[in-house]
Amino acid sequence: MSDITTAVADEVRSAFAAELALDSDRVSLETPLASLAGLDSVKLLRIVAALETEYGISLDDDRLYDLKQVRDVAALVEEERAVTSLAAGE
Amino acid sequence: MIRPPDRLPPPHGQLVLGPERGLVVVVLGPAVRRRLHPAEERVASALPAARRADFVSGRRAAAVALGLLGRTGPVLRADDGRPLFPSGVLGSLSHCDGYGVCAVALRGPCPGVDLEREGRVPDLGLGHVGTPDEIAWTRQRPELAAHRRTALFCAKEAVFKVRDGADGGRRGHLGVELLPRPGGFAVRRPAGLRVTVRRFEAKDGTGHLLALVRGIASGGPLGTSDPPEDLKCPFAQVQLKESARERRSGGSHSPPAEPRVPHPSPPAPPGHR
Repeated sequence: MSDITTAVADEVRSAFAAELALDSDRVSLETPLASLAGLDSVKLLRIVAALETEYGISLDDDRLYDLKQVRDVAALVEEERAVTSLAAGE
Repeated sequence: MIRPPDRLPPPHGQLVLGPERGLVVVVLGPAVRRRLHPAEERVASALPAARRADFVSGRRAAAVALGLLGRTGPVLRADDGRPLFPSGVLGSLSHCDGYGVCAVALRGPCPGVDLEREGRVPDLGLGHVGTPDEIAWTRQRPELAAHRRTALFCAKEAVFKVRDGADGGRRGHLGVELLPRPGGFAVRRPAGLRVTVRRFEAKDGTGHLLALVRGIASGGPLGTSDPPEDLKCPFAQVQLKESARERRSGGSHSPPAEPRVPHPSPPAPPGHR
């Protein structure tokens, strides 16, 4: 699993906070998705779409069904960023 | 022609769709207060606070729906979140914006139901939801795009609830492919299901879509020779109830629907296919 940079962690936490109208300090990487009030499948899709747009990536559809914590989303973003950078020869 | 209701029930009210071939669908307003079954209370108290309200809204709708079939709860919860209906009852739950929805039947195939607020499904995330053909359909008419995205998502969520008999087949929106049909979708993959999508408006005008799927063996609810823009209601009987408190308040919501609509053919809502 890729290390999660502070920048990505903050961006992911902010994406959750913005979609759920929460203060971002109420969302940590360890926050279970099941504990986030109002989070449903559509809102998760909106968060994923926002992160994909932000980073110019496309997250693995199959793995979107295995997400348990905010950390899992951040890790997925980091992994996809790494793959995308590699493909671009960066 | 009697105009069927096209509004969600008021906060203290309930909307009953059916029974049609033994199927009952109940939509319960967010302010309806009903005691849960003691076993459901125990499950609710053990849930994270964030999940409790959704659990309660679904179980309240289930209690009404089961009562209309002469059954009682509890509707418990499997470890993976699936509702566990009483023996001999096939059912499905959904919730959105405080509304609880329950579809129940006493014989197969199992119904699947989903309720979503219109316009929340983003175009940018559609690659996780739709196949290329489905995405192309949502973009064919820009003025309908937000509606179509929601209809597609909502219909697939309903299909997941009947695939493999429950949410066990939930993985992968892209494993389900839909063909737009008047009033809903035919399911191309896995084949043999049909999804009815009906649009309701909340009091504030917010659109909500209710998707209902049953196996084709029960008799497909969709017309096949209808004009493309017509929305056929699949439900044989529509009944709207409101609480005594709501009635005493003078009914600030829109007028309730006529009690019986034998074969309603509502006008297509703006932007609805």
